Amino acid sequence: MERTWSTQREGDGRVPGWLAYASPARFDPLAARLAPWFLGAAAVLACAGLYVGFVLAPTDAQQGEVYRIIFIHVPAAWMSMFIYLLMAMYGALALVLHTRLSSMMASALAPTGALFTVLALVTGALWGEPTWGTWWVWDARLTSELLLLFLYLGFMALEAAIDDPRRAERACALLALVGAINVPVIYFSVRWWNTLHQGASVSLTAAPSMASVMLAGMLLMALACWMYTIGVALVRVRVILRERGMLPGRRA
Amino acid sequence: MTDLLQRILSGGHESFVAAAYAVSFALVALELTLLWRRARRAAEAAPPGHRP
Amino acid sequence: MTLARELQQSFAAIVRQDVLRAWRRRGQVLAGLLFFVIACSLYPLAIGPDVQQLRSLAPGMLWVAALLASMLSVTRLFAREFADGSLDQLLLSPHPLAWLVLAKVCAHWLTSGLPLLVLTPLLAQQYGLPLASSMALAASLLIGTPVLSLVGAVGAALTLGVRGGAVLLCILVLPLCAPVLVFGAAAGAAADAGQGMAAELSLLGACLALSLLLCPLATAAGLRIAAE
Repeated sequence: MERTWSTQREGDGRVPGWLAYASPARFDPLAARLAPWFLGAAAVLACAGLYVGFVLAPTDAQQGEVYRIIFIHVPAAWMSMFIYLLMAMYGALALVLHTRLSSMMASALAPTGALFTVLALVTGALWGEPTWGTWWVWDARLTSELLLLFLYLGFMALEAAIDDPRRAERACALLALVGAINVPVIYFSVRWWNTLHQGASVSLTAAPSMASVMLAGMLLMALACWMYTIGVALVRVRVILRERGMLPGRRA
Repeated sequence: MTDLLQRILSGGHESFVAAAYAVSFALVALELTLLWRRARRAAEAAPPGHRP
Repeated sequence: MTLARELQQSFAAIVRQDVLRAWRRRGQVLAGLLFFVIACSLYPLAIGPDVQQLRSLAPGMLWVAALLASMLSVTRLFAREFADGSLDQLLLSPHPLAWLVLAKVCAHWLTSGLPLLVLTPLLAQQYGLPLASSMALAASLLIGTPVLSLVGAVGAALTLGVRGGAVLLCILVLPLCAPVLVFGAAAGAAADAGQGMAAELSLLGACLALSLLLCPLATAAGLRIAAE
């Protein structure tokens, strides 16, 4: 019978504490305990963030009420990029340490990352229409978000297309790593393209000058998204563990 | 409150804000629903005593 | 024999072998080029014969057509090795796999990228692009198409033997090639506008340098994953 989980021997006192959790059997109950706390924290922080954003933050001088979309648009954009970097990190861990749980964490994060990317794009469009009269603005951030969405969807497509789960995990790990190295290049090239072609600075990055209240609202929402991501990823990775038969079976 | 609701429904700028947050909640709900269904399928499919 | 000479010989052997094989199956290579020609001819049909408009859009459209043609042709990069099982020979070779991959990509570029940029000045005439501008566009393709082949090789290794592999490869690789497209098309447009394209070409050169360094390593890793 092959070992399908971490190469660390279980119960070996010399294993550093955190690395022992690379074993699915140890990780699963931990994830089960932690997930509700993260999701609960997400809900609380989201309420706090929305309160700050809608009740405490004043109406903007230039953009009126529409700017309040920023409280979901910017955190979503931040998360979409941060999650991809996380996926790449887990991918690197999977390739170097040969732990299957690492690549499963990357797979668990991907749908949430795609969600935030779609959210950033949709809220960007809903911000652009009343502000500049068009549903789509080819500014640097939205265009980078679009390409990032393609990277997420490509990751999920590759995972779905390869039948052998081990090969799928390692191929996706490599893809995430290659994509992550490319993301700064993509972002730079899109910004360069944007300044080249657009005289008028119709840009969502030209955000209203940030009162500290607005910044506080954005940070609270960003934290909420962060907690949500961790919670959902923990739930999803437990599902993935079961789908791939990585856990010793339940007694009937 | 009814004034706010009226402003949202009137199709002015407030409706875009409302739409943005509505879409956000809808997508989050979608993700959680799909995840829940996936978890249900995995729990039902795993035969008891299964070892890799 | 010194290591350097061995590496040189293995490189040359692979390039020679692959180019000869492509020549024997030149139908496949020509089909890829024909796709490029047809794609270039479709844009004017779709957009209209206004010469001014076509000329301003020419660099972008030719670059997109080159990108798509490159994606289609890179699917055959490792297909033969995978089909007849000689992929293991490649993996077991004493020479670094990344080096052998670089040789294969080089051969692939010689048989798909190079003919492409030879055809470009000819096809640019359809867009009313003057000769000097089309030569400049070809220069941008000269630096850019190797990058496309290199990045495409990573995709080819990842999707080796996967069902629906060709479309999947395009999905994976096209977003990664966006920077090359941006810089390449901008270079062509700058040259046509009479401005220098030094900045764009140097950015393309940087992309080439980076991909020469990283892509063979990533492709080698991908091949090992595919062969496990």
